[in-house]
Amino acid sequence: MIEYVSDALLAALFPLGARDPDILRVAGPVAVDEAVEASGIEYAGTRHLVFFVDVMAYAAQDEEFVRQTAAAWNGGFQPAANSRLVKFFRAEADRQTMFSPGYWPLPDPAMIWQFSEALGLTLLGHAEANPRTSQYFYMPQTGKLDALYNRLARKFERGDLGVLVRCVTRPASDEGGFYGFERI
Amino acid sequence: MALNASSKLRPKVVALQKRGAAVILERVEAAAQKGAFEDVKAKETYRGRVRVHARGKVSET
Repeated sequence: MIEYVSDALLAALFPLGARDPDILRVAGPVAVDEAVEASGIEYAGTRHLVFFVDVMAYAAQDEEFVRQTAAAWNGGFQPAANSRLVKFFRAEADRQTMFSPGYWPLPDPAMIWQFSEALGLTLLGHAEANPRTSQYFYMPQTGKLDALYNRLARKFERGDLGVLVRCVTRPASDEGGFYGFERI
Repeated sequence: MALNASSKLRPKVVALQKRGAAVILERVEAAAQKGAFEDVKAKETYRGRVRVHARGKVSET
């Protein structure tokens, strides 16, 4: 069982050497294979991986599972072909800790505002490099992450990050759901 | 529907993400084994100063 992301990918996304606590740097995407791309966010000395995974690959090609999940969590909203589920986690996280934001706080809680911009920038970078992808989905595993993606939706609505995408679906269930962004 | 902004994990979401994370880790490892990242340097698309919001104000670090 693989526990960590390959060092080779980390080397492709992040520069070697000391991390600058004053810098936000966004890089990528880099193609992993035909269904996965990865970008990197270096922020205030922390490193974050942002993966863009084909929704069907993420769901192990289980169309019925995707349909049922969409029905239960997002009012039946079905992802378009070639859409991507976006999953980010700290570069140092392992399988057990990558889902728990409590293990990986930002240096200052108030940095979450700019970090949400950085997440938006990775989406824009991916969209520019991958014109066939029309939809992006974020799946919050906590209420705080839900708020983060909701903030991202508002940034796109206001045009703070340009007018490339708009929010087209939000979680419709107490147990989970997706924020979906579609290319305009 | 507005969901409360707590740190409590949503078990069904985590279960689905664990499945997805396995897909990610396995695909990255397979690509690395094939040398997909050799001599690859991701293009830098943004560089800026860290800013911190504090009570409605924004300050640079």
